[in-house]
Amino acid sequence: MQSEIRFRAIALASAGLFVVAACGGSSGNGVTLASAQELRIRLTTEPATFDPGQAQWDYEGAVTRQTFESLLSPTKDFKDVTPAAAESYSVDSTGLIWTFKLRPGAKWSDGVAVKAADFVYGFQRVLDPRLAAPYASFFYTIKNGATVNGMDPKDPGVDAALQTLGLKAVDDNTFQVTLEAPAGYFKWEASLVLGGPVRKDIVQKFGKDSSGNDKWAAVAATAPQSVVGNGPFKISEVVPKDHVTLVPNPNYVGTRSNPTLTKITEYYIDDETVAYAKYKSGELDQVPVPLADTEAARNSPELLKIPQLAVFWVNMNTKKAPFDNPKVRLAITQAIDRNSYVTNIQKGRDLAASTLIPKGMRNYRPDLGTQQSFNPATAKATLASSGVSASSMNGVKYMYRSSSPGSKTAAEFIQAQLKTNLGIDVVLDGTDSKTESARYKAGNFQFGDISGWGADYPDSQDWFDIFLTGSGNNFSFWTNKAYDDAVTAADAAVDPAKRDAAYETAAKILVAEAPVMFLYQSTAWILVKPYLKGAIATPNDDQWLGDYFANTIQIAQH
Amino acid sequence: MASPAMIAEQVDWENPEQIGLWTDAWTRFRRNRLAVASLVIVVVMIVLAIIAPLLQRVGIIPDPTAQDVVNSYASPGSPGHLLGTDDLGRDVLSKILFGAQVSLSIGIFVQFIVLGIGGGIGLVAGYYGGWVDNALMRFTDIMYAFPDLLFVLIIVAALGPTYLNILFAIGFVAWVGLARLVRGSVLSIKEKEYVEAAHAAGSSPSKIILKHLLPNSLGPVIVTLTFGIPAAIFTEAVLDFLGVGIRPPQPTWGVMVFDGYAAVDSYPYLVIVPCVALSLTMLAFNFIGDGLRDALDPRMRR
Amino acid sequence: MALVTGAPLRGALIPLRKRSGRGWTLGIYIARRLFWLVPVMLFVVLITFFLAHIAPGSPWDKEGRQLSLASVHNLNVKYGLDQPIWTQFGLYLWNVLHFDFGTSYQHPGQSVNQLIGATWPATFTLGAVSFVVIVVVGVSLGVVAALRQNSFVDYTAVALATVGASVPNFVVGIVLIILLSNFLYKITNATFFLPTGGYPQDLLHMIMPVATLSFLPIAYLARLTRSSTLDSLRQDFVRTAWAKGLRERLVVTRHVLKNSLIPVVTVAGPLFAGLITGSVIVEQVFQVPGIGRSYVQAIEARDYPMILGTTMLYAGLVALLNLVVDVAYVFIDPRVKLD
Repeated sequence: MQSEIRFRAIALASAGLFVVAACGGSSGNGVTLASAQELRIRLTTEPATFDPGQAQWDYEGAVTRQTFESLLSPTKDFKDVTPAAAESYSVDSTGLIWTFKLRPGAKWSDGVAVKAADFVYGFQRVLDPRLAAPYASFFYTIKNGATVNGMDPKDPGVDAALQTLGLKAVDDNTFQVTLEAPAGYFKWEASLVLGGPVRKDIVQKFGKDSSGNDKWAAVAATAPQSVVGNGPFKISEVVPKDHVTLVPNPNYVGTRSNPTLTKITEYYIDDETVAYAKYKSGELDQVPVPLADTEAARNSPELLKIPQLAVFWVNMNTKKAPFDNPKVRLAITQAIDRNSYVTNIQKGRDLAASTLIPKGMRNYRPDLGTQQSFNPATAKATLASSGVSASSMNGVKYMYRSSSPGSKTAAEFIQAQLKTNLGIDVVLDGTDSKTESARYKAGNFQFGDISGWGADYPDSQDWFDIFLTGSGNNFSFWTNKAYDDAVTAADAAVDPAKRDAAYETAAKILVAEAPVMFLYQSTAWILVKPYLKGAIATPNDDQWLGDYFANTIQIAQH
Repeated sequence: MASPAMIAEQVDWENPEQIGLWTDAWTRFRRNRLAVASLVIVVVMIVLAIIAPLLQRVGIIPDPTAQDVVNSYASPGSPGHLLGTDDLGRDVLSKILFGAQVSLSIGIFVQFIVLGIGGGIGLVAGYYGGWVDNALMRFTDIMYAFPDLLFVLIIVAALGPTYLNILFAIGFVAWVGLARLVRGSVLSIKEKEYVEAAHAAGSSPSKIILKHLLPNSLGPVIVTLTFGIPAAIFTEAVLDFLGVGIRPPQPTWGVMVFDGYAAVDSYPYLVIVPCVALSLTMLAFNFIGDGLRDALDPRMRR
Repeated sequence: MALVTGAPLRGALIPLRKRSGRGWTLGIYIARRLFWLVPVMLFVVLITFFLAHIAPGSPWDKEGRQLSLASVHNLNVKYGLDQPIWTQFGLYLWNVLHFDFGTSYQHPGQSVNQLIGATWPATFTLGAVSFVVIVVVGVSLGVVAALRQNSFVDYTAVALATVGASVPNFVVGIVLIILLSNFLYKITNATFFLPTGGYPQDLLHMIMPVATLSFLPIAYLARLTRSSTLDSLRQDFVRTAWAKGLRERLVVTRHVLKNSLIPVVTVAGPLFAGLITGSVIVEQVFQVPGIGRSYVQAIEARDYPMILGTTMLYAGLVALLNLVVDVAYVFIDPRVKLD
């Protein structure tokens, strides 16, 4: 479609540090509350499912984060995790066994007590090949996780195999996970929406449809009865293609209790221009600012700028000439004026980036990116030293998505930059989104499109793993042993200093070898009504401000 | 006795001989001032589209692909940019002129495909009748029932959004109406005496088709094709609007609308200018089509 | 089967079918057309099925974080996509015979029937309302213009009508948005002028999309009606009756009007089909949660069951409407013969 859906999907699925308490104090302080505590926000698309185990997109997280609660959750400053559904957790000396003590008195929305077995079932479901959970790979850290998930779904031994996973309900209140190998970042994985508990009896009660999908989590008008969760909110109404409404879950016990809001309505509006119009007409309480309306919103008192832990880069296929030559790649990175892109095209909203890790995360080191800095003279020199001439590169194809205005604009910009600064005639190769994904997988492209990565959680492991040899996210098909070694060591290490050093080595290689050209880090521009108070912004908000801590939001009288 | 309803675009031919028909039609066309004005406009547009590269070389209009990001979103009337600039600072007027190349050429060339496929099928089906007719008409039914959008979107996705692919895709879904028209026309003419006479005299099928059937169907065919031009232009613009249009940097009017639509709130001129261009062109062709139909319709001879 | 309109009855070359025999012939005609509907639909399904599958990219390809190979494999097994293509087609056909059109990949847990059922009302309401508006306004304009031929009203109507027929409907939508939404909203503060979706909760929100959809067909219909009204007004017996007086005028008015309606029937079928199949652009611009929009989304997402289900809906509808129009024609225009 013609709006920036996909960009936003990437941009907003990120983790970050900046916490901005939106206009106003915390709960109650001198704020006269409106009689109707109802929040109306916008989602870009209707969720495909309400099942935490099958959540794939941030707009699904927008609902699931409220209806379910995982063992842990990020702290308000997003630097660490804090217990959520689990009251406490401990890791044994080998680093392999994680024991979670569940919060006593925790209940499901239908009043039944939350048990460790529910978590076992939830995690098992994610790894069950028959469910075909899209992001099961997050739990390959669990013992036998990868093996079980890789089994043939038709294999009759799957049920038995599920029992071999490193998951155990020691007793009703104690849930234990055994990992394949020590991984300090598992605490972040345990905070993902993916790790929510699931009620086996509910799943079985509602059965499956003809394709084998569980009906309990279907986005249908029956959802209020079938989606039983342990989160602070529950679904009260589903109008297909229009909206979903959440109301507080009275049975919720936890850190997000006692929300002031009595209702959250999440409307599906895929056109950002329409959403913006609705905000202006008062039908929505907060909305992202479309790029075209930047000037109009720039000086608005209602504007909030929230840096995102999301970085965007241009992929280069290291297996295809001329991009198999690292000097060629480096020359390209030096020939594109990032500042001009960010200032003129993104209207100064975003931050130029020459490195992988975004500002706000621990291993942010802009100084390491100087090799990729914009400098036409250097670029020409680098290209000259590569042995490949600019004229021989004429006709090189840049792949992009024709249906995405942002992708198109970037493509045209890059085309012009390479022409001006290196004299290369780039041919633009437009496709649709699915075709592009297929071509990435097949390696059937030379360079392009702008890819982004939003942090799943604010740990460098999530980022550096992208470029490991053989990673499915490594569209450049890049392979570098030194890099792989450094990253693997860093991922497994526990000592922060050791990790920093190893990641720094990796970062340097990444910049010098330039499998991708880093372009920018995004900032979310959100307009928020002045009467919306108490919202805690995180750079990982799933499509709306205050998503992580909805209990602090208050609607002032207006 | 004049007959009541005008059904579809069928023109009723009483007199198969066409001596002086075209001259007569031209005279009548000339009298229709709206049609003539439209013809002039279309000719001017085509000329402008053809000489656009020349104009650029001479310096009258800038390169439509030249980006000037610092001057993006300049309003119409800014120095050097009569119609303003777009999000990358490219001149809108220049893009309109170069865009005319694509819109006009696709609109016109699609008709060749339509004539070839639709005309061919209609002629063959109408002339031979029997199972040939049945099979061809069933095939036409299938194409008619088939949602065009799916076909075009997938062909373009599978083969890439190049000029030729889009031309082919649009043409392939546009011929059904003409096929039916030609077939109907052939069927009604087939039964006329002079055709029977020619057949009895031993003329070969192709000769009959070429000498008698084809010229007599030509009138409504021309009208249909003329109305098909704005339809094809529109379809191409729709493809652009859905994001599967011709690849940059070649500007097209539909893509300009698509790109500009995101900024319709703040910079409406980006959308209005190509919309006006599209509408004007489609309007002009419609008036020409009207004029042709009136000019070629013998019932209007009074 | 195409409808062949015969020449006027000069010399009675083509004998008119006797009224008493027409019912039987008509019955056979309808039966034959319905019979042919089955293979036509079958071919449509076949073509669609293979067309959808040759589109590059699978339903599981996405931007951002990629799915693991195991997940992709599991998904393919779950939805039967790992089987050979002919097996898949056979299974699909078998299910279709049981009215099971499968589940949508974009919305696991919801069947295609459910989803189409959910989006159908929006498109249908929009289409039906537009249809009524088009017929009422179009015919009135056409008749009025014909009655006042060559007057200012006539010229204006014709001009407007031709303009309307030339402007692409999304252009109308966008122009409406720019002009009306910014302008009228500022004046009236009525939010339904904005393209704000929230459709189809009330009639007010339908004003903009209906206006956009109707503009072009009204123009076309008005022109046709005008022509046919003019033609019938010119008939000798009409002129005579007019001269004679009031009672005859009434009789004749009915005849004239009845003939004016013939073009309505001509366009009604394709028009209704076009409206119902949902103008994709209008649905996109005005955020109407209808079939047209979900169709494009399904194609983009390679949601094969949705693509197939919606295509069959469209094709079936168009074919049926075609038949209805052809049959209706028999009753309206006695010159027509079925072939």
